[in-house]
Amino acid sequence: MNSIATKIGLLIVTCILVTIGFMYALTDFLYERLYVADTEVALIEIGTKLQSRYIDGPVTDEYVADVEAYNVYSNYNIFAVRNPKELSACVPFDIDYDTLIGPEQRKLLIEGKHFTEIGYVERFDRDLITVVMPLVDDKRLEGILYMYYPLAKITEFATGDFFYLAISAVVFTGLIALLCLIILRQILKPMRALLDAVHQMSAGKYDTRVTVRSGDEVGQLSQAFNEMATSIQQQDDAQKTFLATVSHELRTPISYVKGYSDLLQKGYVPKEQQQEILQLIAREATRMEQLTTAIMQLVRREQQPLSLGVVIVGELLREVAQLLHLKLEQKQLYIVWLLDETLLIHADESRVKQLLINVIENAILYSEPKKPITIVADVDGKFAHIQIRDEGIGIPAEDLPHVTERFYRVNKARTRSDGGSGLGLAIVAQFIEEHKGTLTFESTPYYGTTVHIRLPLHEAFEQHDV
Amino acid sequence: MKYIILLLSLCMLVGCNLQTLPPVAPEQSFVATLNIDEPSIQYFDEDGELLTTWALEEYYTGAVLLDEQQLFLYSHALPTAVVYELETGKLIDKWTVDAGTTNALYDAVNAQVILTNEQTNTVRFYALDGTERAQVPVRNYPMAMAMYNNYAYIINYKDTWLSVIDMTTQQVVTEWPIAAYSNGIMIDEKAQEVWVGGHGEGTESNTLVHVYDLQTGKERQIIPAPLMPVNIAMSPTQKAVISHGNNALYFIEDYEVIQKLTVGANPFAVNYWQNQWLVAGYDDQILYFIDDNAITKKVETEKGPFQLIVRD
Repeated sequence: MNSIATKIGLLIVTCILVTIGFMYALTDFLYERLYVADTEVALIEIGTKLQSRYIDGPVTDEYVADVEAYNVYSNYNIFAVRNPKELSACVPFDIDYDTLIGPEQRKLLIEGKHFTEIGYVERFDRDLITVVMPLVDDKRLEGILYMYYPLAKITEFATGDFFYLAISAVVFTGLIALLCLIILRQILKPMRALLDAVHQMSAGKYDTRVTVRSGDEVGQLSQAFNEMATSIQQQDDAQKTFLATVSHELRTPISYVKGYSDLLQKGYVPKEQQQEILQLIAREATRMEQLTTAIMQLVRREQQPLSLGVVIVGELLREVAQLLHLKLEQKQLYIVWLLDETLLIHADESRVKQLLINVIENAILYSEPKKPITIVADVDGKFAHIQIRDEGIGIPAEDLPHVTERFYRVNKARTRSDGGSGLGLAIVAQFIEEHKGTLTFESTPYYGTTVHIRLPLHEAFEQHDV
Repeated sequence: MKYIILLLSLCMLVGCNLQTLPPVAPEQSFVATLNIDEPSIQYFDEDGELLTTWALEEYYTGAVLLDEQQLFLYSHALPTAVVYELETGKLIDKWTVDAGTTNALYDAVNAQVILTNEQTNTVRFYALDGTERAQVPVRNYPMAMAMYNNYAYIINYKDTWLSVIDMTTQQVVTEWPIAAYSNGIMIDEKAQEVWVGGHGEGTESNTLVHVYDLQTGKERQIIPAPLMPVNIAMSPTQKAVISHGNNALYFIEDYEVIQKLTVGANPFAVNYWQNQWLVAGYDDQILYFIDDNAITKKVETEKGPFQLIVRD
């Protein structure tokens, strides 16, 4: 019962049954409208003619015989009735007799009106169309013309074939139902495949795919499933790669630390070199700390919702520069400010601060000494456009699309001696994405790199501006 | 306000006893038609002038005058009968009777009303305050009644017996064989005869009026009066039989039909009053005044005049 095929099949069968029922009712209606109406007209016509032969006063034997003679040759059954008992003349009295016409009909007839009845008549034990016309003299109902035609002649025909009709209707409905079921099963086969695939996916088999056989909704669903599966698989792969990279990144400093500490412990290191070794150990430990901090940041930020508010871009940039002034001084770098001081964005201040730190740190890291770092902030449509330009080593064009990937290295040969965790830009990209902003890079090797950050302007600022 | 509500509820409780119909002057002689198709009573004077019409709320099927001043109305379908005072038109009493009442007679001598009931097949005797005095079981479907000399003569409509009941002792004293589906009974005191008409059984329509000896019940005469003579009246010189099957009024002298008059459409009631014959046509809704064996006046009535009630 839960299968769609069964449900649709049932729906179709129901529709067929309703249609058959409707057709039957319609046929019945047309039969009654056309055939019965036709018979009624014919009976009334004959009745009117016979009625005109009646002259006032009691209905005579001759008249009764006349009608009887007509009856012999007519297709219809016609007779004149003059027994007052049959005409409900005794109505106020209980005469224990089933009269031919009822008291209400008698009233109609006395007024000179005729009436038609369709249905079962007990006296004749069959279904009839009956037309009764009065033979009335003034207000005296002297008699009636009782005319009828058995409906049975038509319904009997139908009843004879009704059995076959019913059987064929049942067989037809059954066949249609079977056909529907087969077709529906065929149509819904991909659905079952899809269901199996979903179960496999749930069980962790991310390489599961379904074959797309058609372009219909089911086909589209299969296609969408495959896309989703691919996406999940990529996500899963990325996760695995990330973990592998993290392990790898950690392994190098750990092996350094382990190796040097072993040497120290066993006393193989001459005293004058011990200090140098300890510095190496400390440096590697610092790198591990940075790495784990960055990972923690990534993970924690993923879990925490944004805490949005108004952020003054100029102020924030200066604050970040202040935080990094030591590093700037070390390399004798200086910042060129081109700021729109009124710039307000709608953002999570701590995350924007972190991402700016990461970007400016990179600029510092890859700048040649004594060079300027240009920081521009202005309006670009609905965004605040922040540019951080260094005159550093630049990034080769083929590496540009990958710089935000976790642990991606522009210079594959380079060690971590430059102090990067390999996650800085990944964090930046993630934060900007969270803010529905954009991050693009513009770089010429050995000339410099410009990072373009676009973050949504604060609505109030926007309105004020307009 | 409280008292008005109380009064209204009391009024409703007693079935709107305050219902009043147009009065009929005490000295006014009249013929009244009880119309049963749309229930009403119409009072006419001897010239056929309509005196007044009582539109009734219930379908009463029969009426009888009590002491010439009150009209007693009963219904075949209702378990109640009512009494109206003619002079005031006020409903003065309501009696509880069983449903199935087919006829009523006023017995002035014993100050009682006699009702026939076809559902219990009994003849009921009621004092004039509506308390029941006695129930006399009779044959199947008692209906037509006549009385003479402290005896009530009851036709058992769906039976072949006429029951004679002593009105004082309320006992069946004798039974006479009659035709089934007899209806219409008249007693000729002078000739000591009972005249009985009838519908006839089943598809057969009765055509005969039977005359029985009032003392012995022996059949004295059979008079053909087709079709379905259902009511009989008499004048000092003639009897008149109304046959509703062929709308015929037969005038009879010495057990011979001396004249047949076609009158009305499906007439059920005939009466002799103020030296003229009266016939009510049920289907044509006309009250006919007949004198010298000819129709002298036609008066339209409401729907279904079924019974004639006269007061001299």
